[in-house]
Amino acid sequence: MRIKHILLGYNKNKNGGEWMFKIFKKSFEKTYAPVENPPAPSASSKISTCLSENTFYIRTRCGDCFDIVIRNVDVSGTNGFFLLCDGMCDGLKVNNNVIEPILNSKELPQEPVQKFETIRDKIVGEVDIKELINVEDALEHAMSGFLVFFLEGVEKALAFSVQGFQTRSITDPITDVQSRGSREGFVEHFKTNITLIRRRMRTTDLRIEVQDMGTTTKTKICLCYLMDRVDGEVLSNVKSRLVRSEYDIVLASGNIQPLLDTDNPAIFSAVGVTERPDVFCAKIAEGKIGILVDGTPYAIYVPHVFTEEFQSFDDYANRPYYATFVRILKWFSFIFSIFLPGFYVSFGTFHQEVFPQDMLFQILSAELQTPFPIMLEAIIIHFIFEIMREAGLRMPKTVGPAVSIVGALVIGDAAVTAGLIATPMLIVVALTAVSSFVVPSIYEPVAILRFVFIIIGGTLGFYGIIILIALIVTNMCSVNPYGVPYTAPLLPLTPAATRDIILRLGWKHLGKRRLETTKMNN
Amino acid sequence: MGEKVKVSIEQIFVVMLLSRLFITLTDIPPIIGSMEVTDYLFRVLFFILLVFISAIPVYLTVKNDTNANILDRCVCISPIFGKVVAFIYGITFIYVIIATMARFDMFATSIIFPKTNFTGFLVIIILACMFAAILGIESISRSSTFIFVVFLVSFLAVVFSVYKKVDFLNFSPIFYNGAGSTIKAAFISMPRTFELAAVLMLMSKIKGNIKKGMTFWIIGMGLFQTVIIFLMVGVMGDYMKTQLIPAYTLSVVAEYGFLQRMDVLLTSTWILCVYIKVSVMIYLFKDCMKTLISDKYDNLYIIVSSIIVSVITLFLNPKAYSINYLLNPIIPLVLYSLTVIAIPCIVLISEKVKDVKNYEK
Amino acid sequence: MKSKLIKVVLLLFVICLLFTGCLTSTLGVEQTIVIQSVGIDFDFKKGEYEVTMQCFDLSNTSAKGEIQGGKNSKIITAKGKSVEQAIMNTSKITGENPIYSQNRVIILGESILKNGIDKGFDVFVRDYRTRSSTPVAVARNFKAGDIVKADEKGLTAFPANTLQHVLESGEINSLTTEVTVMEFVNLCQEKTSSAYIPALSLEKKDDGIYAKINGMGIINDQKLVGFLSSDETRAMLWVINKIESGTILLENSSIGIATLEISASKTKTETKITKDGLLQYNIKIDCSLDLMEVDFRKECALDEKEIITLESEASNYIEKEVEKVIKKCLNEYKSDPFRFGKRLWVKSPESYRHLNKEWDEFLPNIKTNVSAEVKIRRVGRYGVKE
Repeated sequence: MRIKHILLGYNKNKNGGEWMFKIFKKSFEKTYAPVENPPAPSASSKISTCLSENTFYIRTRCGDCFDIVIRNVDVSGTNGFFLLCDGMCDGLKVNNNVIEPILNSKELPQEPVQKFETIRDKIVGEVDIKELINVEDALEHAMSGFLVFFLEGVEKALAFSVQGFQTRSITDPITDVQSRGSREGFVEHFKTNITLIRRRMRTTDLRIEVQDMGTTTKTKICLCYLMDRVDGEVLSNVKSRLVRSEYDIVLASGNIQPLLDTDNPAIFSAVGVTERPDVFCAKIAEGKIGILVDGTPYAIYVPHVFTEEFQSFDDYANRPYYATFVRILKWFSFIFSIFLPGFYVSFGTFHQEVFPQDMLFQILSAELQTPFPIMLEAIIIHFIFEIMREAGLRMPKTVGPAVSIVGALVIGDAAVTAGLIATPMLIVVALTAVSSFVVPSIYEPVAILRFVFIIIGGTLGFYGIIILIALIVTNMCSVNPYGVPYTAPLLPLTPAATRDIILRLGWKHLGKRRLETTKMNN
Repeated sequence: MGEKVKVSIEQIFVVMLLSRLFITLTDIPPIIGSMEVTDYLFRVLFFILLVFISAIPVYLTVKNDTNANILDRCVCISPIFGKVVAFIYGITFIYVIIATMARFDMFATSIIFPKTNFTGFLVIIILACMFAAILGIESISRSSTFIFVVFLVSFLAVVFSVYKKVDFLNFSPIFYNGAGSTIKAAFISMPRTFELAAVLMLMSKIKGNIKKGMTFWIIGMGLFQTVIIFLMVGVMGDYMKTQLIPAYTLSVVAEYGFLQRMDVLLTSTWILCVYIKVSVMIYLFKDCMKTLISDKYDNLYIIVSSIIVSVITLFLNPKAYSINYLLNPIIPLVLYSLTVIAIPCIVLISEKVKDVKNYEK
Repeated sequence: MKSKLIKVVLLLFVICLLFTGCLTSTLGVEQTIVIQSVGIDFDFKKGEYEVTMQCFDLSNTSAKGEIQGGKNSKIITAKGKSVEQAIMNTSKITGENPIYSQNRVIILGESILKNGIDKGFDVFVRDYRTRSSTPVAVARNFKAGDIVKADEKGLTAFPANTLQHVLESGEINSLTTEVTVMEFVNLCQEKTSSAYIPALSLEKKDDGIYAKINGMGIINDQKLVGFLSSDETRAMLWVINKIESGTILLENSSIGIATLEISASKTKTETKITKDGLLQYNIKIDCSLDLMEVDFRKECALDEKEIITLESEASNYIEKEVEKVIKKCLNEYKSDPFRFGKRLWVKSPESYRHLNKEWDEFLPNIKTNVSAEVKIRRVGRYGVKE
């Protein structure tokens, strides 16, 4: 009995708990003893006049962090220390612009406060200086690449802007490719991004407000807008959404996108994303609010309407007739990418009369040889395409050619020759896949909706597809991000605004009246 | 949801136009008495006249830029009267939904979808309409503009591919057997225009000149009907009498060069008209229930009404002779007289008698 | 609470759907057979319909859709007590579900039409799967099944296409006109009118058997009463204003045998009740012809006098042909494919009310006044002599 109980881990312990596993539990606890939580920041983490108290506070908060460096110095007889984060500061600036002038200055007053003020106003002149009164602020600044200076007897600290961490240089934007736009894309460091914007909009109306988000990461978020064009209500709405967030970690603009997106369940996102500073500036010039997130090159802007997915920067650089042609191409590509497989499946399964005779013969003879019904075939082949697309996105570049060859062979010739997939279905997949990359910004909802349309087309036919289209359009019409209808200016129709939707009229017409998205309501 | 929403007059009347056109497109030509094919065309004229005349109480009742619909005004006159009126309107809208689904069922089982159990598809349409009603009148009216464009494209495609086949010899002499059957047919067709009751319910949500919009709507409805029936008669002649739904046959016959057999694409736009109509009616039923029971719940009424309609549709298993129930003119005539003529008249008279002026919320 | 309620409701909906058997029982595309042409005959001895269908033959293809030799169509025949049953009986052999949507032509045997159009044709009007725009034809002197089997040797990819083109050849030769199910039934439904239906026959050649146009069948009171020859058909088309193109051969013209091509033609028929109370139809034909061929002679160019003579000869020819065919239809067949009765109805409903019950007997009393105005617009490259 006892052995069985031992084997089964039977609970004989009156105190509860499985004694069989207590041994393991104890050893587990020993190895992975939870670290004692660091003391929470006290309400009064003010800088003390006593240096050792400040040092103690910093060491207690940061523990034995390798990169938090405290360098004690003697400033003309008064003790002080520099706090910095190793690797975040520019060594040359630190030495040449800050430490040397401070340590080598001869005419410093003896009184600590006066000494402090002299250093602040006269000694260090080539870098930006901030005055801090809180040790938490000082730590935050140090972790942002500032060099923080504490002086014995002074209840303040100085933060010198000497950031010199490695950032990516400005390169071509990867996702938003334009043939006539600039070759500069946003980078991870938000200050560089701000300069990219400021260089393009040298107006006093441009406002840039920086705030922190995320209780752990304290990521810098920049709100950019034009004072004379932005809608006050929209701005306060955006600000309140950002303020009331309870995010712990913010590492990308995609993390805060749900905060700014519509409250109603919607298929398409009402937040625009761009990697290009020129597009970003164009959007804020329309009265929108742009948001930069430190650590990611993707900026977002609100409010965003559906028809903007089909507008690109190149449209305004090209001649109107060509720009119109490209716009119409984009709309058709969108229709192909979302509807073509569903239409093909529904026509092939239920409504064969739509096909011309010769085409029907080809389709039937091809489909007859395959083991799966049309709907299943469509789902399989589209799923395989998504796998290949995802693999192509994530795989290392060295493996790329091999995977491409396998993919082309497997899906291309072998599947058809083996009789798994019919050739007409391959044509449909190929056209769908190529069309979906003409408007890459809405790829995600399109990819999912495609599958939904295939299933509906295969089960309910074309009539089911039509009902689904109506439902999707109704859902889009129910979304009003920041008071702007998502389907504006098509639904409700604003005739003046349609000059830049499917057609791109010449500048004579476009320049007539400035229309702001926030004012396109019922 | 969206109680303070104001929808533009154009959008609302596109909604009304689409929902009424569905009945025209799936209309069974009345073989009443000895009506000939051209009389079917003149029925439209009488129909428009009758609608104008019966809409006089509605014209007098609607007010522009108001926050109160007919139910609110009835409640101001007397709370009990308000509840009774809400009940009557609720029953009317439920009847309209059931009649629409039955008509659509007849259309679909006779003409399209040969082997699928179509009742399931009807439930799916009701489910879709339920979701649309939950999203609100603003979304429905905006999406109806898109649907109207699609409908117009298919309508024009039919017109341009078929107008060359019109043979004026297919028309019969006007009123060969007298105008009596035609007027009777118009009287049967008139009480299917429940959109007037919908206007009374929606007037608090419309911004713009409602009376002007209504006039344009009725004229537009007449024009569409005239064109469709003219083409039906001109192209098909007496063949029309053998067809259950001649408008469908017209879409079958519509060919233009290599674009043949496109009737699937053309008739699918008619299904969108059903979607709009049923969504609006479910939404209005919700408004009636809010007045009748309590205005705490929005979506619950929508869901309950959808379930009721789905269950009734499931049990109304279509048989060949159930079309007779559909064509029975008594029920719609009674409901139409109440909702479009009697109740607005009572409201107008009571407001004058009681001198109720302030019924705005 | 709200989300729970919504979940319960959705569950109820799903249950509703399951109870309805929403899952489609539509057979997959592999189990369908696509019909391209249908021929129906009636076997009087056995009292059953024989249906011959031409369908897609998908047996010689690969997944790539390449046709690996052989024909693309096959013939299936089946019998049944009704047409619909016969068509469904094909599934006994093939195991497949026939679909009509690509049907190009319906050929009715003479046996069907002599028996009465109401037997055997109803399925094409009533069934939701058939289409109103399908052309119809009658098989003359042959069985409908034989017409469907024409060109069975597979010289063309889809013989049904050839059949359809032959029926549409009226656009080129004006020896026939395309009559769809809709037009055919419309004519049958009219109380006084007679329907007409293109007639097809077979022609044997060295390399196969081909279908050809052979005039027009006339149907009165739902029964086939007779056929018109090719020339008579053309004359009939003149009356009903369905001439599009074609040739007229004047064998005894002043310049030998002249072939004239019809470039445009318009006919106006006017209904008139004379003072004596007689019914008269004034048929005015406006025709433009192009001179295509004459007997070759040294002076090829024609002069104005010759052209005017040719015009009057053509005009006389047309008037004669038209009067002949009207007389044949009205007197011999006692049929009204020209819709004279309908015209009377539209013009004078009261007169029609008296006459429509005895219309067939009244037909020979109808007077017609045919006048053809011919213009020769082009005489070819030789020009006109001054």
